[in-house]
Formats: sequence, structure tokens, C-alpha cells
Amino acid sequence: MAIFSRRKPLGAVGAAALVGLVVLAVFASLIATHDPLAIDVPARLQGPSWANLFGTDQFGRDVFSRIVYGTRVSIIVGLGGAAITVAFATVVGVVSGYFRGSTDMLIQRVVDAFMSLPTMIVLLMAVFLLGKSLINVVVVLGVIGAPPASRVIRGSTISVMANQYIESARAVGCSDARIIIMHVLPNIAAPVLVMASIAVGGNILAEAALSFLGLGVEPPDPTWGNMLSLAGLQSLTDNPWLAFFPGAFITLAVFCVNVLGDALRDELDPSRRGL
Amino acid sequence: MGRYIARRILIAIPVFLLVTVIVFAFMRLSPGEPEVIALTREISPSQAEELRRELNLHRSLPVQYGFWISDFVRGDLGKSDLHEFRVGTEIRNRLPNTLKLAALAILTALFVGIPIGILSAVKADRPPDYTFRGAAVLALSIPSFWLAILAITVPANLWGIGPPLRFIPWGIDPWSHFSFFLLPGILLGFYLVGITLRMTRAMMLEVLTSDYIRTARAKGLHEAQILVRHALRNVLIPIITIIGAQAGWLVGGSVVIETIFSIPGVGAMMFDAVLFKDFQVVQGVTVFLAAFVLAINLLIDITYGILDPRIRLG
Repeated sequence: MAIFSRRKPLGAVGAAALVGLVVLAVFASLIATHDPLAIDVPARLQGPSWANLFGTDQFGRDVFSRIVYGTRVSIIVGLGGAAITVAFATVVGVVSGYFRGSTDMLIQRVVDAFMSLPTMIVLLMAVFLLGKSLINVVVVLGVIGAPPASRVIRGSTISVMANQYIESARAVGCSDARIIIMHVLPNIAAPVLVMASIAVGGNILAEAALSFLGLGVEPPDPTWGNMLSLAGLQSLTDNPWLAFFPGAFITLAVFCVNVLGDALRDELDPSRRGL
Repeated sequence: MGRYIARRILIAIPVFLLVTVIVFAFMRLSPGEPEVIALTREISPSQAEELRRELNLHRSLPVQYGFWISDFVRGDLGKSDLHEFRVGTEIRNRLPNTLKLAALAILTALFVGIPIGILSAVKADRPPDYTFRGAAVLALSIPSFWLAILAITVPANLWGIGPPLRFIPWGIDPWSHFSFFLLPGILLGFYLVGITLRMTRAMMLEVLTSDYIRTARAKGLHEAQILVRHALRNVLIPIITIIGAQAGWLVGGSVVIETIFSIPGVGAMMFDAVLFKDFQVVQGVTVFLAAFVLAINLLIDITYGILDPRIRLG
């Protein structure tokens, strides 16, 4: 940890920011200065001040508190989606890369098929079929992110399989399951971690776009995306603080996650450095 | 060469069929069946009956799929539940707008991303490089809809002006039509600039340490000549490939940008269909866009194979 932060100071800053966001999400009720849903019409559309750090919206709700609570949605979608992606991608990628042959050929064509479905379009289709809900968004983002990630994991598995210790394990009679669990998985942990960090940022962006379009978490519950909603474009123009803060938080969060992901990749997977 | 192309196409056909099966299964097997969706929109019983007939819902699933896919390959994507248009015709009318937007985004990525990427590689690990790399990550982190909001609100607040938000068709005024597309296209391209910049930098760094570049330097060629004629040429193919691989992302991004700037493209069509519960349009546009992305990927694969024999023969 200490070595990582010395070699990759920017990555460490990213990691610290991510931890900060998780803290914000978990302790939202302690950190928020106001009730994020409390309507206070006389105090509507006030600019930033000491009473309302980031100002108030068209219903007089405190923007800072809404952003603090909105962190929850972004963190759940970011980390939850990434967890699902990693679980699926690891199973599919390892099976495909370990067994090769016709299994691999078959799995890879299914992966091809899923990869040709644009994430945003699948999200929209899911909202259309299953309705607006946070859990749908998390699951869909997690599943649709898995095929491309599984490609990378398959590649890593194949390169691990070329090692002599795999051959030795087979020679002493280890079962496939044992080889995969004891020898393959620990050696592909690095690319898996890198894939996870890439997924987090993408998920946060996708959910924010969906909420912005009015197809994500339903108002009045705040998310960073729905605070910028398409429907309220005019009031964003008239009251710039409403437009600035939620977007700045999305950008900052994704930036930190991306910086962390880059640092992890440079350290753990040097062959892809700088890409 | 012919064998390579034939093989790529042969692989693409079952993948395409698989995509259609996935979309079809999603649309028919999820809890929100057509009738249920129709009910939430409160359409009349006769409209519901028409929808059922249009979708062949009284037949078994494989038969329904057979009808649907045979219509699809003949270019018939069904009829809108809400409007008077056929889905295929409407996509054909709207596709040029989406393609213009995507083309502008890609041009932005190439013209901004490549020069800065080269500069970043030349100045590797010095302050300009850090700045450009930070900017690239920032471009990957800013949501395009927020950029659009800023592009609309900041000039409005500072100078009281704003970009046009009402779409101008080509027929009315070609020049205004083009200038209308400029801002949305550049905004959509931001993310691609980040990707292109990083890819260019990484590939340039690799190429610049190769032997033939040292030879070119030893010959006494100008640094500019080395960079452009010798290094950049070898970097262009992977850059174009990685931009092509973003076709799916561009399609998704166009949903947001087209909706904000009210551009009548395919992305906005999908958004409207989801908002107003138009089953046939959602299904048709989804499968069309997937086929489109698949076709782009196939095209890139083939081009790559033609340009780089190692891919073809490996």
C-alpha cells in the first residue's frame, strides 16, 4: 500500500477519493446538512451560501444534501455493477481460456453477439421491458459489461496456461477445478482487478446518462444524473449552480476511479501500460 | 485474401443470428409482454388485437421468431404502434443525421486526439505530457450530457447567447444545417478524443523506440519527417481500429446528444419509443443498431486483415 502510493501518487489520490465517496454514501445522513427531500418553497433557487453550500433547487431543496445522498446511487451502480461484471466475466473468460477448442469457439461467438449490443441501447430496452428501478440498472450494467471484460480475462488465462506450473499440476494429477482455483485464478487476479476498476467509472457514467434522460431512479429521490434532468434544462440555464455541482461530482468521481484504474494497470499489468 | 474475408463473413452470420435471438428472447420472455406494455399505455382492445396479430403472438415462439427474422432480413422491421410509419423506413430517414453526428465526433477525435497524442509521446514524462494525459482522462470522465448543458448554460449566462436548439433540416438551409451539427458532433467526440489521444501516445512511444526510426534519425531526417512519414503511418491502423471499436459507444452517446439538441436521429427515435412505449420501434431499432455495430466490426476486421498480413495469416 505504502509502496503503491509512493510509486503512483495520483493513483493513491484516486483511491482516497473513492474511499471518500463510499464514506459519503454510507454516512449520508450524518454528512448532509438538510433533508434531501424537504421542500421549502420560500427558499427556492437560492445561490450557494453558508446555509445552503451548493444553493437550493426549484423546490427549495438543499443541493449539497441531495448530492450527498445521490452518491449512494452512483456508488451502488458503480461497485455493484462492477462486482456482477467481474463474477460473470471471470467464469466465462476462465472457462473459455482454460478449455479452448470448441467450447472456446462457441462461448466467444456468444460474447461477440453480446458485444455488438450497445450498452445504452440495452439499458433503454431494459427500462422499457422491466420498468425504472435501481436494481435493474445495476444488473443490466453488470451483465452487459461482462462480455468485453471476459475477453481480457480469457486472454490472461491463455497466457497463464502456457506456464510450466500448469503442466506440472496436470502431470501430478490435479483436477481441472483444482488447477483453475489454485493456479489460474490467483494468477489472473491482476487483470480482473483492473477490469473491475474500469467498469466502475463506465457504470457511473451510464447510470448518470440514464437518470438525466429521466429513465433512471425516479424523482424525488436524488441521483447526480436526475438532478441535471433534461426536463429542467431551462432552470439549469437560469441557475447555473444547479447545472454545475452535480456534473462536477460525476466528473470528479469518474476521474478518480479512472486515475486509480490507470495506476493499477500500470503496476499490475504493465504490458498494457499507457493505453 | 478471399479465404480470410469469406471466413470472417461466415463467422459473422451465426453471430448476427445469435444477436437477433437474444433481442427476440428479451422482448418476448421478459415479464413485460407486449400486452402488458400495451395495457400500461391504455390502448384500445382493437389496437391490442392488431399488435398481437402484427407480432404473431398466437403462434409458438419459434414460429414467431421465424416470421420476425424473415421479415427483418428483407428489411421489414414492423410498423410503429403509435405512429403511421414503418420502422425500417423511419430508420432509413433518420440514419443520415446520426451518421453525420458520428462522423463529426470521429473527425474531432482524429484532428484533436492524434496531434496531441504525438506531442504527448514526444514530450513523454515531462510536464506537457502530464497535462495532456490528465486532459485525456478528464475527457473520458466528463459525461457528454453535462458538457452539452455547460455548452448551453455558460455562454447564456456570460454573454446571453446560446447554440441553436431547434433542428434545421438540410433542405431549408444547408449551411445552417451543417453549423447546427457542429457543436453536438464535437461534444459527442470528446470521449473519443480521450481514447484516441491515449492510444496515439502509447503506440507512438512503442514505435519511436524501434530500429527503423533510429535508422531514419541516423540518416539525418528531420524530426517532423520522422514523426509523420515513418512513425505516424504505423500508428494509424490501430488508432482507426480502436475508434471503430467505439461504434457501440457512439450509438449510445447519440441517444443523449440527439435528445438534448432535438436532432431527429436513430438514437432519439429509440429514446422516444422507450418513453412512449412503442414496442415495435424498440425491438426494431435495437436489432438494427446491433446489426449495424456488428457490420462495422466486420468491416474493420476485414480492413485490418487487408492492411496487415500478420492478422490475416496468423
